[in-house]
Amino acid sequence: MTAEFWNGTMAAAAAAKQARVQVNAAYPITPQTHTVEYLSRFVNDGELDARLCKVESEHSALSACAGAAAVGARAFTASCSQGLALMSEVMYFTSGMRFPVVMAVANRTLSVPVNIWADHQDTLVNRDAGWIQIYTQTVQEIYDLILLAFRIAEHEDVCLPALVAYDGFILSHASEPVHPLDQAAVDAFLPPPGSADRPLLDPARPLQFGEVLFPDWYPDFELKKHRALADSLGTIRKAFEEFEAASGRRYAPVDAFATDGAEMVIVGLGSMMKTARHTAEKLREDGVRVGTAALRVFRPFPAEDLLEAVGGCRTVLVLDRDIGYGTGGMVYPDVTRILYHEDHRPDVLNFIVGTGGKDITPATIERCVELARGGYRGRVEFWPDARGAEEGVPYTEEPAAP
Amino acid sequence: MPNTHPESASASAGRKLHEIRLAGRGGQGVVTAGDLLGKAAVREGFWAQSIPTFGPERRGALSSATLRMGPEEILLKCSTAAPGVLLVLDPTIWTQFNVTAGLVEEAVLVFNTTEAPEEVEARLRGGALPYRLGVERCRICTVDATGIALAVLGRAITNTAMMGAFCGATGLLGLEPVEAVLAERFGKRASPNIEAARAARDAIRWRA
Repeated sequence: MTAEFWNGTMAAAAAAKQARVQVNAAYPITPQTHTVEYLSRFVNDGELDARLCKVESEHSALSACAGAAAVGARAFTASCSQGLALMSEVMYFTSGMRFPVVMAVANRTLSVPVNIWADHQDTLVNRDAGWIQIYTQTVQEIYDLILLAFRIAEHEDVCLPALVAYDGFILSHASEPVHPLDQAAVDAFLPPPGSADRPLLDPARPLQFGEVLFPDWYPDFELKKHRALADSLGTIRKAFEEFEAASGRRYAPVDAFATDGAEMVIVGLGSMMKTARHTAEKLREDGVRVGTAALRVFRPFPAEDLLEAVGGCRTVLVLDRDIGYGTGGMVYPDVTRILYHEDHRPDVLNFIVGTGGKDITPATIERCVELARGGYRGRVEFWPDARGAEEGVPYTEEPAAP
Repeated sequence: MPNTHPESASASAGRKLHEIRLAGRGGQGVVTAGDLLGKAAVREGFWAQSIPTFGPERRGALSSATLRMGPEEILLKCSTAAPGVLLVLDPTIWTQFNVTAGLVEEAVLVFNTTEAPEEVEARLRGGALPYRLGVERCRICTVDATGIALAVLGRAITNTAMMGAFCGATGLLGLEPVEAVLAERFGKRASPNIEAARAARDAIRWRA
C-alpha cells in the first residue's frame, strides 16, 4: 500500500480517530489547531462517533476530558504553549485521580517574547504533573505513539494520563510518509473504548475522587502515585512489543543509535535527535565515534535504558531544547542524577539549543560535537546558537534559510 | 516534450537525497506546491518530506518551504541549508531576498519570469541586488509561469505551473504523478491546473 503523506497534526488526528475516541475537547492554539479541526471534520462526515465539546479555555478542555474519563469514556485533547500552561492545574488533578486522558502536544515555547515556534519548554515545565510523557521524532512516530499512549494509559496496571509531544511546525506542519494501520488492526491492538477495568463514576456504585487527604496519609498517597508512574515503564515495554507484533515497527523507551563503543553520546528529546543521528552518521564516516540516545519516554524516566546506551562512553552531551531559568537545561539533571552513582562517570555537558524554534541543523550539531571534543569545559550549560554566550567562544553565524 | 536540461539529475534521481527550496510570496501556494510535489514523489516510490518555513503569514510576504526526496527515510528535521534545486514562484521576490543562500554548486535554479535566463543570471551576479549569487556552475532556467497561470487559471497563482516546471527542469519527477495529485487535490478544478503544469513544463528556457 502506498504510504499516506501526512503532516503531524493529521497523524495525531488520524490516530485519535482510529482509536475511536469518544470525547474530544480542545481549545485552538497554533500550531496544534489543525488536529482539532480534522477531528471535527471526521465527526461531521460521520467517520468518527465522538462528542466534541466546545469549551471556553484549555482549563475547561482538560476538565471536560477528565470528566469524560471519570465515567469510563476514551478522551483526547490537544494543546501547547500558553494553552498547556493554562491546563497545568488540571493536569495534576487528572493524574491524581488516575484518569487515562491522552493529549497530543505540538511543542511550542512559552511567551514572552511572543513566539509560536518549537521548543520543549511547555511540556517540560509540566514534567512533574504525574503524566506519562512521550517525545516523538517523526510524523510516523506521532501516529504510532498516540495509539500506544491509549494502550498504555488505559492499562489496568497504569491508569494514568499520557501526553505525546511533537515539535511544532518542524513536525506539526511537515509532511512525511506515514503507514497507518488498518482499522481492524487498531481495533485488535486497543481494547474497545470504555471497557477498562478501573474505578469509575457511577450513580449505581457511588465513589469519591480527589478527596481531601490529611498530612498523616499524604506521603502514602504520593508514594503510590510516584510508583504508579515509575512502574508504568514495564507496561510501556510490553505495549511496545505488542505494537511491534501489530505493525512491524519497533520502539524502545530510549532510541539509541551507534552507542556501542561511542566516545560521545548525544542525549535529548524530539525531532532534533533525528538530525543529530543524521549528523552522527556523517561524523562516524570521518572516524568520530558519536552515538545518539533519544529519550522517547521521558516520564517515567528510562534510567536503565539510558545507562545501557551511554555506558562506557567518555562524554555525554545533553542537548536541551528548553531552559530551566537560573539553573540550566531541564533534561540535564535527570541524566546526571543517574550517572553520578555509576563507577564509571563520563563528563556530562549541557548545551541549550534551538529554543523558540531556532533551526537545529547538522551544522548546529557538528558545532556542539566539535566544542565538546575540543575540551570545552566552561559553564555547565552553554548556548552554541545564542550570540555572546561566552567570551572566547565565538558565535558562528550559519547562513539562514529564507 | 519536457525541455529537460541535458545534465539534469534524472539519471541519478532515485539514488540520492535531493533538497529543494521553494520561494515565493504568501498566497501563491508555496507551501501547497511543496506538499503536493512531496506527495507525487511518494507515489513514485521516493521517501519525501515537505517542511514549510512558517512565520507571521501575510499575503505578499516572503514564503518558503523545503522539499526533500530520496531513496530512504530522511532523518533531517530542519530547513534545507544547501538546496540542489531552487524553485522561485514569484517574479520579483528574488530581487529583495537572498533566496539563493547556501545553494550547492551545479544547483538547478528555476525562475518564474518573462526574462531570459541570461538576463536573470546577469542580475544575480551584477551587484545591484542585496546579494550576489554564490555559486559558479549552477544551471538557470526561466518560465513565464505567471503568464501561463493568468491564461489558463485566470489568476496569478503560480504554484501548479511551477510544479510542472519543476518536473521539466529537474527530471526528478514525471508529470504523471503530479497530474495524479493535482486531480486528487483539486477535483473538478484539476484540469486547468494540470494544463498549467503541462504548459510550464514545456515552456522552460535554458541559458544558451
